[in-house]
Amino acid sequence: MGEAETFEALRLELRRGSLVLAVLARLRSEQYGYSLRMALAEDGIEMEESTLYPLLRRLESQGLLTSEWREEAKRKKRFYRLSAEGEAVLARLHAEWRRISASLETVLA
Amino acid sequence: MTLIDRYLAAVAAQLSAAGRDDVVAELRDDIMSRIEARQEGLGRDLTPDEIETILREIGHPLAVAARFGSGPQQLIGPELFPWWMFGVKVGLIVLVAITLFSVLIKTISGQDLSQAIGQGFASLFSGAMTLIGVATAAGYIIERQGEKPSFITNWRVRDLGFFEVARLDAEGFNHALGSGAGAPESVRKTQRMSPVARALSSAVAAAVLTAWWAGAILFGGVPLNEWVVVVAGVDYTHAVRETVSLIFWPVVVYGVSRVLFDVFRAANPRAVRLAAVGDIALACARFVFTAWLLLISPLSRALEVGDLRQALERTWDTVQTGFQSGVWSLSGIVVMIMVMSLLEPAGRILISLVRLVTGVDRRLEPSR
Repeated sequence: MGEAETFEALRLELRRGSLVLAVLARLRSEQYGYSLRMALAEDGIEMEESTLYPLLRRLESQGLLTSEWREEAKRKKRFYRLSAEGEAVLARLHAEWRRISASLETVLA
Repeated sequence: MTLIDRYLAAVAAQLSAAGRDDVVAELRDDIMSRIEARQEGLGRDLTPDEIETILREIGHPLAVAARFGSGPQQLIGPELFPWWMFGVKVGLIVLVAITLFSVLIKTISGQDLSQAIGQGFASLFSGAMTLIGVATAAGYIIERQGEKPSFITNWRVRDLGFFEVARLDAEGFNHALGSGAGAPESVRKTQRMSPVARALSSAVAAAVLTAWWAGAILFGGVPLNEWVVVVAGVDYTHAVRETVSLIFWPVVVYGVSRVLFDVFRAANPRAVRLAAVGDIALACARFVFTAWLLLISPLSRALEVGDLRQALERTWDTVQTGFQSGVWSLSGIVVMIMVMSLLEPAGRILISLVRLVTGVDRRLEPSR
């Protein structure tokens, strides 16, 4: 495996855990799948459909999201939003993220 | 049917009925949103090729559907895989040992050595494939249970010597079986296989041997009841086949009982008295079986052994002649092995009786 491939594999590994945080944070305001993906892409976080939709289902089954089907622009869309439990988990994850980030900055300095 | 419908139908076909419509509807909305965004940018409708490009970007239906699956995405997960690998390695060691034994017996029975080795390789290959298939099926089922078996988390350091059996070299094997070759001096002095490790190794060996006896695994490419046994011009084939047919089911029952008993022992290492009762029952079965084989079975008639006195005399003659002339009669060796096999269960019964009365198994005491 060349250096570029090794870096890419490690980069994907590094960002995998942070995707949940990004999705939860974006869903503080209501979004449907496509609009969420676009919003994340604008933030610099690209996610494939086959990653995003199963993740949304898992987070919903864990009680962190709520969803409802509504018609918009003549099509039925499923809208997601952070639940009260999701808000609490997001706040804790955010604190953990800051702690890890600070620790890593110290290590990497 | 449009390209999008065909794509979604392929995804839907891989999904379980529960939630299928939901997933497909959401994917459809995503695809349509993508297409509309692209059309808006281009100021025209997309061609079928461009739509196909979008669908290919989303991913193959098999991969996309798999991501929506609720169960594990692998046959055997990373937590269970080392156990699967270990079980397969131990099973392969037992298979190789049985194959070598089978080749030896066939050669002694008068079969051409190269033919016996060829059949041995063929049956070892098919046996290994069966073993790996069965282990994978078992791993697949365990992987999908809500709770993993307790042996994954409830392990003891004193049992770990057994796991070195999987080092596929002579040094590792000797070490694991207790001689400790290759281990540091301090480790060799204290190493002893615990009852749990013994029970597990016994269960694996008994399972493979029972599978071989029942015909699930063929060694030598020929079922046991079709073996041709001719030694020094004497044809024992009829006696062997008759004996095998008479004891087929009793041996299967014994083998299954042995595996169940060993699993029980591994799960309940402190149940000394219950283990002693099981040991006595199984040893009695072995004693009766060996005595029958030696004194009553068709094989004993073929070996011309009428009673225990004759068997002992035959054993003594075999040893005397062997040492004096250097010629060892195979039938004499078989009788000698059977006589000695009577001693093993007798000794086991005595030891187990002591454990039953005292409730103490010294192997359970911590090593110092």
